[in-house]
Amino acid sequence: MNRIAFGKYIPTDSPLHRLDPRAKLAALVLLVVSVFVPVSWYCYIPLALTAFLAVRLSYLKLRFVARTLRPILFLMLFLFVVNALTLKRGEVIYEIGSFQLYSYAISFTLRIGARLFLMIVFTTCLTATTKPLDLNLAIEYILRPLGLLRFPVHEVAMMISIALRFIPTLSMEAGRIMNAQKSRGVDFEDGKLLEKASAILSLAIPLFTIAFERAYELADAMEARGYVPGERRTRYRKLRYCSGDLVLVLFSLLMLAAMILSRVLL
Amino acid sequence: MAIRFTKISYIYDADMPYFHNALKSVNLEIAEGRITALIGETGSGKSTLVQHLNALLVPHLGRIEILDHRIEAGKRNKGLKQLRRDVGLVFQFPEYQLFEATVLDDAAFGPMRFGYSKSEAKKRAADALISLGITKELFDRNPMELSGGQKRRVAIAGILASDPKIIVLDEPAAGLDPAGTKLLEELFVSLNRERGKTIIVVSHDNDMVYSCCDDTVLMANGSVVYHGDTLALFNDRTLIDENHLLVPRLVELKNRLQEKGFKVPSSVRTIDDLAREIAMECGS
Ligand SMILES: Nc1ncnc2c1ncn2[C@@H]1O[C@H](COP(=O)(O)OP(=O)(O)OP(=O)(O)O)[C@@H](O)[C@H]1O
Ligand SMILES: [Mg+2]
Repeated sequence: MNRIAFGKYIPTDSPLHRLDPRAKLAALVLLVVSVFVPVSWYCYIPLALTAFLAVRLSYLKLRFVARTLRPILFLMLFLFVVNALTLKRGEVIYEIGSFQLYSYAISFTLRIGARLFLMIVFTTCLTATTKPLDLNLAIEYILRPLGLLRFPVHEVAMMISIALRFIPTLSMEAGRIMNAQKSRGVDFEDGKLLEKASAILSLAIPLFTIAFERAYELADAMEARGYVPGERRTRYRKLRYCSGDLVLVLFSLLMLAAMILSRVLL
Repeated sequence: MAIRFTKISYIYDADMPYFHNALKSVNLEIAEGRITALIGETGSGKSTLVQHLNALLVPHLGRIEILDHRIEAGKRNKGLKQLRRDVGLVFQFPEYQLFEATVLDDAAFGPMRFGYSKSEAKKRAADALISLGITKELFDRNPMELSGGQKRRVAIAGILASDPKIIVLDEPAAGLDPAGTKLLEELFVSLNRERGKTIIVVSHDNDMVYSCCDDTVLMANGSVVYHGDTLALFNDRTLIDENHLLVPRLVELKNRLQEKGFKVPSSVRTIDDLAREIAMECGS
């Protein structure tokens, strides 16, 4: 359970940690869009450099980033098989019997892989350097215009922040329950199908029980502190921009502009 | 030797900037057939140590031998099911592991996983439940409908029902009423004295430790700082001061009596023994 690296906040004091969550969120959106724009290969060089810089500036260990990327390797393998069977463009690179592997299948798979790779690295740099609650504030801020359309921005933001808040708690509880059941002879890794089903039940039922208990407790605690849905609330902590935020957003904007230009011109 | 730890180190979040070295080259040998208390401040690594006894955590360095099982750092260790059957581990707040539809089924779940037939498992479960004071009327109830203390007892019965050779309890009494605590104490003492089980119990209750544990392992900051006779530890003023231990009430009382001129042998463990000694002193 502790192995899940994607989306985890890493409490260090890196330059990216100190930036405003709204600026980081905006930059993420801009950069992710940039990743999907280019057509030619060398456009990925500045993007890759940016990703590398982002990792350095968030003080993340390369091993940690590599761990978040492991799942896409499997995805790419799967994609490659599908592409190899269906995409029949470009030159034939390899031939066995009646099967022909075309160059386009390879380059297409690599391109998608590169896009996913960059997207995940950028997202990891955001989630690893931004506390879930700050991220939530940023989301609330960006959704604020929707409030004019009677969209319950604040309530939705609150729901997201509570959900985010409980992910680590529940994953810790899940780890504890799994350990307790392993001690009772449950085998989560291998075992027959029927045993597997009972293993999953032995985890899921206690976890649901705990989740509901926690939810009731939290609801009581919120009510006891005077939380009323829909009331206007003030904030203890105000978000403030600094010059670094401006640099980050401008840089991301430039990157997007450059990618769009390259697509138009090339 | 039932358990031997050789230079065990364990690090939480080893590949994170905020890693935490929870066990630091721990050497420890626990003899068969004894009741050993594991004490130490909160965060000193007791639960971490205890989870190694079921290979739920595998050390980053070092080697563990438990009965005839071996767990080594950096290896894919086999025979874990057998190990978990031989070493029954009762977690802190074990009531969260309950999930079957009835009390009896839940207590029989462990033994069934460890290969007992259904009827045999139920028989063992029923015996274990009764020894913990859960009466037959409750057997068909849903565990979720029980009180917290009852749930705890059902969960513990579920471990005892598999008849492990070594029983490890991580703060089994936390949150129980005095009667429940007393029952639990008597239970593990009788499991040890009558059925020869090796017992390891993590506890913050030094009164309990003093009255019924043969040996004590004291942990601080991921290391073992004392391992030896319980009475010797709690009657040693310097050890107590150095480690900021809470003096058991009985030792406190004994010391005061001694100040007033009573001679009390240091082997006195319980209040009843003490009363007897005093009666003898007065009688003579
Ligand atoms: N899952 C975990 N991830 C990271 N650190 C952990 C984890 N579990 C425990 N720790 C850390 O390891 C140290 C030892 O924890 P452990 O649970 O073994 O303490 P303990 O002696 O059992 O304490 P207590 O008496 O409170 O139960 C603590 O400092 C704790 O913060
Ligand atoms: Mg503990």
